[in-house]
Amino acid sequence: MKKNRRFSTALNVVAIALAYIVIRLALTASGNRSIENLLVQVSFNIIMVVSLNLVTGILGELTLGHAGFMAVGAYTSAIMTSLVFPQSIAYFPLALLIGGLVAALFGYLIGIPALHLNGDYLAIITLGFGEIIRVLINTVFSPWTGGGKKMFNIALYTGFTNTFWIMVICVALIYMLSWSRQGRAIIAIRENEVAADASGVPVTRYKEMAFTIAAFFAGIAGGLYAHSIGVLDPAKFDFNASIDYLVMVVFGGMGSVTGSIIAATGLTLVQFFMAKLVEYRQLAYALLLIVMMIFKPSGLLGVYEFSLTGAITHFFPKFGAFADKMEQKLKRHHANPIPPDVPYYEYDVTNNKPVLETVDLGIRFGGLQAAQGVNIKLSDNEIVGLIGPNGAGKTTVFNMLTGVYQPTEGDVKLLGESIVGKKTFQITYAGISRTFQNIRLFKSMTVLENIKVAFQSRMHYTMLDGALRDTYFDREEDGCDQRARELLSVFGMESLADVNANSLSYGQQRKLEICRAMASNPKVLLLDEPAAGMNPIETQELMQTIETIRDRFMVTILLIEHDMKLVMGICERIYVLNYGRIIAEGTPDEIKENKEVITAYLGADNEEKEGA
Amino acid sequence: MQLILQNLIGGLQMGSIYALIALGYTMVYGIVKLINFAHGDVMMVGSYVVYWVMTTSVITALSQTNPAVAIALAVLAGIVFCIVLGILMDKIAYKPLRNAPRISALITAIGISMTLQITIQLIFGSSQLKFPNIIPSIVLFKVGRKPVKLLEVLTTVISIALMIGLNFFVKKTRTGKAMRAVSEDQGAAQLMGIDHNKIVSITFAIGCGLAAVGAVFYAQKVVYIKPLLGSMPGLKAFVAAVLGGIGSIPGAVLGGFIIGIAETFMKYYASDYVDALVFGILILVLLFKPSGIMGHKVREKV
Repeated sequence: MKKNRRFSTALNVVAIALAYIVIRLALTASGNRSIENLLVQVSFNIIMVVSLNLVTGILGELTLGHAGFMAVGAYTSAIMTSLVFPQSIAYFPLALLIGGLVAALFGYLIGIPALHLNGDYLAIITLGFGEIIRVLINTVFSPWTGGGKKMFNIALYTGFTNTFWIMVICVALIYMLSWSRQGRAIIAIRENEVAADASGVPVTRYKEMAFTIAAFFAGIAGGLYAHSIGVLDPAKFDFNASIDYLVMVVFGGMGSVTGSIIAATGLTLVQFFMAKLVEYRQLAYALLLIVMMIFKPSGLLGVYEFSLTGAITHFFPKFGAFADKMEQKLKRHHANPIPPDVPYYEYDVTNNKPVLETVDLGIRFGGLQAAQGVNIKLSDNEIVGLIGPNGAGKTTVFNMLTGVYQPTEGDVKLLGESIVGKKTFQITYAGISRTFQNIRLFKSMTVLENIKVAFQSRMHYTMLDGALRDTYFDREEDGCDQRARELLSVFGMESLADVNANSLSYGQQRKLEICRAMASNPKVLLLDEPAAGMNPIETQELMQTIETIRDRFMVTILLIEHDMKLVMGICERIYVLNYGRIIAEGTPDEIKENKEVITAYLGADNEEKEGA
Repeated sequence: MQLILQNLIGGLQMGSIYALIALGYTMVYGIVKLINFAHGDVMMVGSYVVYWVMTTSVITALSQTNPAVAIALAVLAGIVFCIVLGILMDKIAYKPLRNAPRISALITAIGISMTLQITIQLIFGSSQLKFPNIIPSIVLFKVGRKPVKLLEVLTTVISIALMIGLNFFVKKTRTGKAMRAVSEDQGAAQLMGIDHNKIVSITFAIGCGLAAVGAVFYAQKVVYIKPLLGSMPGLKAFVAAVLGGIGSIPGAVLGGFIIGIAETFMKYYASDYVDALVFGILILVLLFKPSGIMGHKVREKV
């Protein structure tokens, strides 16, 4: 599905074309204009729901003002066709496009402040903006929009044919996007924002992108709406309209494009046949929302997609083998796949110049000095331990090194250059990657895709390449696949490449996280309690893995760990942290003998008596 | 100066209503980390219950002879109804979602909000109804040429009294202490033997009870009630809670008064842009100090 599966695609195209022909013939035969209008409505609703799903399902952020963007597109395109362009349907596509672009502009502008927030706040702020758009139409823009008095006499340019094909194109574009490197990044943000950031995904930029694209398609849908109804009333784009679309997204399954199509079609038909019973329909919607959230929050299809090939195979098992054979035959083989870039570090690591160095690093949270005067120097190709009692500030140090926290004092130098002030994804790109104490994987993705997320900042194909599934897209995706499998084989996980990350065992999940961290090609790897929760055998295996990584990838490794056997076994040097300060530094043997360290861990003799 | 004083009195009245509603938002958020989107609609339901009780034949008859008792009964019925509604809402819809993603709880809240609105619309119709006169329209004194009525004074006084009472309850009683413990650390509170679900129910009960009081004052002020009555004040109260720092009780009160007063002044100078002002405040707060005036900064633990 994510790859260029040409047979499947061809089958879908044939099915869509057939559906079109059958409906078109039936419409012509019956000559029923109201049915045609209904189908037009189904089509633009599908665009609305699929585009809303891009934000709510695929990106995982709830927005409550999607109808606002529809309004922008509707009014803009209507103003274009009735006031700006000559009266001809030839200008209709251009008007739609302008409507979409203006809606996208609104989406972009609203996204700048809104997307800095998360969850509930984003929902409220989009609700506010949705209402403000409506107020603007009523007041500031009323000379063109007619304000509350409605806008009349918009040319009726839509028919089943043009709306249907525009819908197919819009949906196909969104679908292609969701299965490209950009789409992977967006899904990764939904699955785990912190991990996406640490894997080099510029989170805010991708959120902004998804939001803008969704607004663009809502604008297109609005344009179709305007030219099928002929009258625009700002009241039609209120909060309730946004909720209607949200219900469809939830019903179809947040994250599933095909689920959205099914839900939009089904519920639009329900709306049509219950047109006289608006209140009961709304009540049914409201109750449906509540009941679904309790019993089936994933909706009809969850995050999965309906596949025609899969469905046929379900009924005719032989078809599956045939489809596979056809895929093999039709597959385009590219002689030269393009692997993701490998960074080139231009830095002299000989003469013990440190790869990573902190200078009097410290951070203060309000009145709490969580770390102070931390001086760490890591040379090339070293394995260094960072130990200390619980709450000593070890993870805080990691967070400062990776830009999750901005240090309030001191400096961090990676390969001689200060990285303080950089964002997490930039630091990852610059050469520090990490794992987390509590495992953070992209759980709905496969093992392979988890790795590929970390490659995305080192790939180059554009959204257009992705949408067109061109050669460049194929070559780069192939190269990226190859590299990911190579990397997995280093960890002995190549057989798990296509398994979902959440079905891995605990030890495998830890390993995958390390593997993903290595995928961003770091110079320094930070491991936060890699052995936590592992049994002795798994820990033993992990120690070997860590040494293999160091030898094979020439990285410097700094690890936090409580398992002393692991720390003493593989670390060449150890830093001991207590109350946010480094209290000792040295080889494992030196640390074992160090009085201060023993006191920090076990307490001093006299203290012990008092404490007991 | 007089102008400022006049607007300030009106602002205090609106502010206390917002504060009463905002308390419900903030308390529920403090305990279950949920924005109860339906809170404004609970208030709306409260106003309809009071309206309905006042129009029943028994109460109408009673109000001929003993109006004070009739009104007290009606208001009490509204408060009790909202308390029960709040508890049921939590038990039926929110409780199954305690460990679900936040987006699920938020969608449920929207569902409840719509359910309440449409149910009321189906029972009472969508057109507006005249709310009965509960508080006599007496002019107490005048500020300049503006008469200050009993309603305005009563709203402010009763609201402030309730808030002081709530503060006392949360600070000094056993249950209040348990509530604060749950809001600090739910897991630890449970380990200390606090019945988490009971505390959540009490929180919903208090929040919705206060909303019912707010409903009476609000309905009395706007005179006509409709099924959508709760959404705007609900949203503004939410903004107030965010402004004060969501989760903080004094913050909600402060936020309520700030929004109420700001809105009243804005209404005087540029009435078209009142709503824009409130949402503008929300956007600015969220951008520059998302934790609000009195809230705590919460970081995701990495």
